[in-house]
Order: sequence, then structure tokens, then C-alpha cells
Amino acid sequence: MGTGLFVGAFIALSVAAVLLLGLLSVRRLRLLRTERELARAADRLRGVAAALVMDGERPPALSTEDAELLARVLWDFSRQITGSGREEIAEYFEEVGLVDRQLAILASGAAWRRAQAAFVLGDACSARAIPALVEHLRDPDTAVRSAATRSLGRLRATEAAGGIVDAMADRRIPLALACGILIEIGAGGVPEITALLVHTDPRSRSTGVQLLGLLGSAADADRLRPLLTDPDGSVRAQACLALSRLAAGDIGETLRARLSDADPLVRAAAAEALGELQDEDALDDLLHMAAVDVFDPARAAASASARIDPEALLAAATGLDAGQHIAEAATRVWAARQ
Amino acid sequence: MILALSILIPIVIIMYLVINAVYLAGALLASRELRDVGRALKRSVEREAFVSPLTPGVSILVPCRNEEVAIRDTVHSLLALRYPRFEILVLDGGSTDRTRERLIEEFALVPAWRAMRDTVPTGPVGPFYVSTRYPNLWLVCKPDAGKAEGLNVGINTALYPYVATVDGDALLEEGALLGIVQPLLADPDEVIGSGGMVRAVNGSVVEHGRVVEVRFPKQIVAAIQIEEYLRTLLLMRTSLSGLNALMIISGAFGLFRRDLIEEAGGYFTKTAADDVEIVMHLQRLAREQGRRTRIVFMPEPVCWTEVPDSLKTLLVQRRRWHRGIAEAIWRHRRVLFRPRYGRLGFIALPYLLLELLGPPIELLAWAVVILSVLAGVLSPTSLFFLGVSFMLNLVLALAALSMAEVDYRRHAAGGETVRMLGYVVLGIVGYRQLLSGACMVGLVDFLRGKRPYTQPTRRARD
Amino acid sequence: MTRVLVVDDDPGIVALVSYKLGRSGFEVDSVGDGQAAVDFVATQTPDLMMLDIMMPGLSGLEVLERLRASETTAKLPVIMLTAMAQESDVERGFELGADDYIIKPFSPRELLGRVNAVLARSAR
Repeated sequence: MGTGLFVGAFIALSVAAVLLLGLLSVRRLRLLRTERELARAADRLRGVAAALVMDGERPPALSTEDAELLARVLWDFSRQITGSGREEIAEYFEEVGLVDRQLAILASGAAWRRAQAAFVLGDACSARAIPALVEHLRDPDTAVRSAATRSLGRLRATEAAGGIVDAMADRRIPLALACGILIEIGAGGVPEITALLVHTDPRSRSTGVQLLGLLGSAADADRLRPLLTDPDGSVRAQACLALSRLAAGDIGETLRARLSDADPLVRAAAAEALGELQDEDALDDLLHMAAVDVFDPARAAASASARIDPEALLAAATGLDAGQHIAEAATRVWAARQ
Repeated sequence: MILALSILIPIVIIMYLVINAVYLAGALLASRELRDVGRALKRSVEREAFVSPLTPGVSILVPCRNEEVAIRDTVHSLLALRYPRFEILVLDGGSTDRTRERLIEEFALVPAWRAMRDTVPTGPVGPFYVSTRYPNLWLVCKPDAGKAEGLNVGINTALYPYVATVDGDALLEEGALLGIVQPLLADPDEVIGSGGMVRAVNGSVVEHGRVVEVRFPKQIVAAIQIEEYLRTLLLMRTSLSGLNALMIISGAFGLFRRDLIEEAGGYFTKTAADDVEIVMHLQRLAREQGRRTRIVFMPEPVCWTEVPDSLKTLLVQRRRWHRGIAEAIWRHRRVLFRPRYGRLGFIALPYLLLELLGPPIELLAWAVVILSVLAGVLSPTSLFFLGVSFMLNLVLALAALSMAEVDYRRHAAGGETVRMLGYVVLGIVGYRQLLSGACMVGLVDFLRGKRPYTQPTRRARD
Repeated sequence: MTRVLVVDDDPGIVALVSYKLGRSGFEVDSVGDGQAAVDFVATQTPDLMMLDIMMPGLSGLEVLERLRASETTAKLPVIMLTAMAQESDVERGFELGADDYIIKPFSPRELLGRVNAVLARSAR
């Protein structure tokens, strides 16, 4: 019995070994060949691609292989340049039917294929893809949603900003990714963001506040003010930071009021905000905070003091009760001057 | 005696085969997982992450002791990282060589003061240094501290909500940090840690912290380990990560949420494998609090590290690692096979247990077979056992190599793949058994309750 | 004809920049890494250099340092090519004596404009 089992196992494994060895060699050879081919063809096609991108010169008739390679080169190029070159690329991809093909896959392929199609549409530079991509911000698969978001960013789709904000609020897409993209699109006056400010979920309010701070202008400061007294601590903290980014005129006083907030993270955020605004009136309060408060707010206060008035900070560091945060901030100031 | 053998032989051999069947299953899972990873890589959103203001800051902790040879290159590679916001904290645990001096000279460090929390008890810390040229580079010294203690100092000092651990002789690729942050960005609520690929830099050409040419190591010992690392990391960690049952993130290259480490009480200082222990601890805590968490292994971001190139150093290392795994499992033994801990209890920890008992069982299987051959019992079966064992290892090695082929940083240029296969064969017929021996000694160490080890000295890079 | 040397490890960038400048009446040479750039200017002096900052091996900043250290190339106009506006690198580049910089992704028209502006400035 035992022997039979072993013989069977041995044979099965030997077969597997041979197959894997074969796979290894085949993959190796294929990869090498692809690399070499790609390198050669890409060299040839780069000139063609550059001509298309810069001067709208249509490429000559190409073999299917060359056409695919050209498409690859163009995808890379579409990432390297801005301006009218992208329109040429979009026209080309439309002409060769790539946009249609990818849109079809997006509509009905397997999840990973949809994600790939969504991604590629961003590089194809064609604005025609925007509505489908916005629709797929609600795709059941996370990878597809992320790819759609990223491509909408690449396409500079300002009309999609609202959809992206909604997807962020519902946590359908990663916040960090979407935020970067919204900034790239430059979508400031988006009504969806204002709607977030009054959402029932504090996390959504927090997201809205952050976004407004990053994308808004000084005129939006009034919308953010009421959130400085929001019941949720993280919303208040984000409001402090957002207001400092908008750098509106007279918020120093309201921010200073937050220095005595019950939540240490809010105090820390207020300190950071005042440092950002270089609010000299806050200096005394900040130096005091840096010496007596708990870790995070004290640290933020010391750091803010350094930004507002480095000399005053260095002077404070010589005091006996300065504490570790003022000492660290003073060290940083001094080291930066060496 | 013969009766005992004929009962023992099947049992031991079956256990041995079971263990290897698990590895094979892992290999199959890994190939699917790697395929998914490969597809996902084509859709990289790293550029967007780089420019996003919401990408979290990372405090990079570099615990080291007596790393004078390698530390400057390590810090250079970290300074060259493409990441929007990070700081580097080199944590010197009482170097007696010129580690400190070289750092001070190379990076223009000056004495400084740094505020520290006291969330994790560490004892006295100091002095501190900061670089006048790179304001995000700090050196924190603590007399006579092990790696875990050094890391705890780092936890107390870190500025940002995430900490990355990097070995004192490791070189990170430019995009590596951005790479292992990706899963965290995609899912900040669930993902609490991630780790990247660790590869052997022995023999490769390094300039100023950058690997400019990947070459095969000259020493046999180092060369054999290349395939082993590929197998362990690419096969097992990828598949476990896909199953959300990953329990090991290399201390050489890992990323974690700082607040959770603080909650766990920091790194456990009384073990040789603090990197294994912390991951286990974090996962366990999460389960106990009813939270869904994931730890992800990313095969793409790479950290280059020196692997031991002498047999003695290697065996000492493996002995230590194995003892560490035993200690970690023992500390968290209550997780085993308890429904409350779900996958942790039924997949993750049992797998580690398998890893733990694998070497002794393998050695036992060999011993039994050899004894039975000598005693003249069951010869054909013994022969086939040898054959099957050889084939199993070969298949696993080939699977690992084949999966590693798609990585553009592959070691072998043409002829070197053949060389690597040669090393694989060599590895199977001698190396593995030696390693199993070292592991078994490590297990014995644990059972005898042995105490801390001393770190080996670093060989000069060629 | 004005000679331009394009230094970038990305052949795509090289192709794009070379094409644009070539079509606009410049004579364009290109190399793929810092060392090659240093070797090139040792034997012939271009009128302008487009220099990528992030290159493996000898980085753009190191090349710049060497250029400014040598008499023949101390006044060579240099435009940096940087990805994602790494501010610290740009600052350092200006400290080392670069004349201007372009962020990738870049606009071909803007590229041409900057090149002409830098050449006009250095001609004075």
C-alpha cells in the first residue's frame, strides 16, 4: 500500500516538476523576446508617436503588433505631456477604435478586466469616456472604482467632481486617492462638498471640511466657521486646519478660542492652524501651552511658536520650565540655521 | 525495534507529506494571488498617492547596533525615498563600533533634543542628534538596547501615525515606501499593517544606497538562500496574505499603525523574533475587540538586505528565528483552534505551528528512513520517500522561481537561471537538512527556556 | 544651428523633447544617463542642456555640479526636467546654477517657450 502511494506521488511530482521547468523556460524565453522586441519596436515607433502627439501627424498603416506597441508608447506619452498633445492622442485612439473597445469591456467584462479598461481609458485621453467612468464609481468592485476615479483625474473631468465627492462620502473610494485627484482637477466650488458639511455622519462632515479647506477659497471661510463648534472633535480639528489653509482675514480670534477646547486633538489642530497663519497674538498662549499641555497639543504649540517667532521660542527654551517640546522646537530652529 | 519502526515510519512520513502538501497548496494559491497582484500593478495609482495631501506621514524606524559598515548606505537609500512626508529615526542600541561617528560625519548630525512620549516603558534614552542637512533625519541613542527596545523607543518618539520598520543594513528602493503604503491608503480602516519583499543584495553592485546592478552572490551559502527567500516570501506569504492569515511581516521592511502597537504595549522585548510577535499580537487584539483587520504582503516593493554568507552565521540566525517563532506562538497559544479567533486560530497560527514543527519532523522522517534502511526494513518505500521528498522540494523551488520570473529585477541573466537550479538541487540534498537541524536546536532552546542572544557582527560588503 | 543636449533616462521623454526641438529648428543630441552627459560635454559643447534630475547612477544635480565646476561649461544654460515638482530638488538645482525647470508632465509649447527664453537670456 505504502509503496503504491509513493510511486504515485513520485510520478505525479515528477510530472509537475517537468511542467514547471517547462513553464520556467517558456516564460523566460517569452519575456526576453518581448523585452527585446519591445525595445526595438518602441525605438522605431517613438518618432511616430512623437509626431502624432506634437503635430497631429497620423501614423502610417501599421501591422497589428506595431499598432499595439504604438498604443503602448502613446499611453506612456499621454502621461508625460499636457496641453494639445492629449487631444491628438484622443483622436488617434478614437480612430483606431480603442476607446470603443475599452468602453465595451467596461460595460460587461470580468472585474479585473473592467478595472483595466477603466484605467486605460484615462490614458486614452478621450473625454467620451467620462460618463461611463462616472457611472462606474458605483461599480461593485473596489478596483474598478479606484481605477475609474484615477482615470477621471487623468481626464481632468471637472464635471465628475460631484460624483467623486459623493463616492468619498460613502467610502466607496479611498479618500487619499480621491483627494489628490480632486485637487488635480481643481474642483473648488462643488455643491456636493457643501452638502457634506451638514451630513449626519461626523466622518462625512470631517471629509467635507477637509476638502473645502484644500479646494476652496477665502470666500468659503464663512461656511466653515460654524463647524468650529461642531459636537464632534475630529470635525472641529479639521475645521481649524481647513480655515488656516483658506487664510481668510479675521479667523485668528475664533481659532484662539479653540486653544482651550476640551479635546486635545482640537487644541493641537488649533495650534497648528495658528502657526500656519503666523498669528502673533496667539504667541503667548502657544508658549504656555507648549510648556504645560499634554503631548500632542504641546508639541503642536511649540512647533507653531517656532513658525511665528523663532527668537521668542529660543528665548523661552532657556527658561527652567520650558519642557521637552519647546526644547525640541528650539533644537530644530537652531539646527536649521547651521 | 522493527515493530516500533514499522509503526513509526508511516506516521512520520505521512506528517512530512502533509506539511509539504500544505506548501504545495500555498504555491497554488500564491500563483493566483500573484497573478492578481500583477494585474493590479498595471493600474498603479502611486503618482496620485504621492501628490495627495491625505497620504499619511510615516516615521521610519531603523533600529541598529554595530552597523558601521552598512548604516550609511541604508540612510542614503531612505533619504532618497519618493514619499511626500516622512521622517527617519535611526535608533542606536548602544553600538560599540563607529556606527554613531560615521552617521554624525556623513549626515552632519548635531546634538539636539527630542520630545518623547512614555506610552511604552523603555528606560532612559539619550543622547539625540539631528541632521543639519536633512531636518527629517534623527539619531536616537539608547545604551545597550536590543532591537525590540530600540523599536519601542522609536514608537515613543515617532511623529507620524504610521511607523515603518527597516533593518539597519537594508536598502529600500525609491518607490518602496509608497508601495507598501498603498493597501493602507486603499483601506485605512481594515488594513493595519503591510510588508514588502525582501531580497538578497549579496553580490549586487550598490552605489550610494542604490542597487545599480543585480548580481548573483559569489558565496554558495548566500546563493542557496536566494531561492529560499523567493519560496518563503513569494509562495507562502503571498498566499497567506490573500487568505488574510498572514502572521509574519519581516522586521526588515514593514509598516504599521502606531496607535495599535501602543495599544499592544509595544514590541515584546523578551523574544528573539519581535517582528513575528508584534504581528500576532496586533491580529489577536483586533479579534478580541471584534474588529476586522488585515495585514497585507506586497511582493512588488523591494527591500534589499544582506543574507548571511557563512554557514555558521546562517545557522545561528535560523536557530534564533525558530526559537522566536516558538516563543511567539507560546505567548499567544490561546488563539489556537478557538472559533473566536476565526482564521487566526484555524489557518494563521496552525500554519505557523506547521512551520515550527516542520524541521523536526523532516529530520525525524529522514532518521527513521535511514534507520530502517540500516535495519533492512521497507527498502523500496524508503527509496521512494527519498525520491518523493526530493521531487517535492524541487517542484516547490521551481514554482517559486517561475513566479519570480515576472519581476524585472530578477537575479539571473540567462545562464544564471541554470546556476540557480543547480543551487536548488544542492540545497535539497544538504542545506535543508542542516537548516532543519539548526531550527530544531532553536526549538530545543525554547523548550529549555534559554535567554537573549547576541547579534552577530556584520561582514564587510564586497 | 543651436545645439541642444537632452539628458534623461526615460527614452519617451527623450523622444518627445528631441522631436519638438528638432522640428523647431534645433540640432538635438541625446544621452541616457548622467555619466554619458559628462562625457559628451568633455568633447563637445552644446548651446543648451535639458537635464533630468532623477536618474540612476549620476543624478542630474551631480551632473550640474560638475558642469559648473568646469570652466568650459560653467556658463552652459541648463533647464532641469523634474517629475512631480520635487521642490527640494528644484531649489537645490537653482542653487547649483540651473537656469530654469520644467515639470513633467509638460506642455510641448511651454517647453519650446522656456528653451527660447533661456537661450535669449544667456545670449545677453
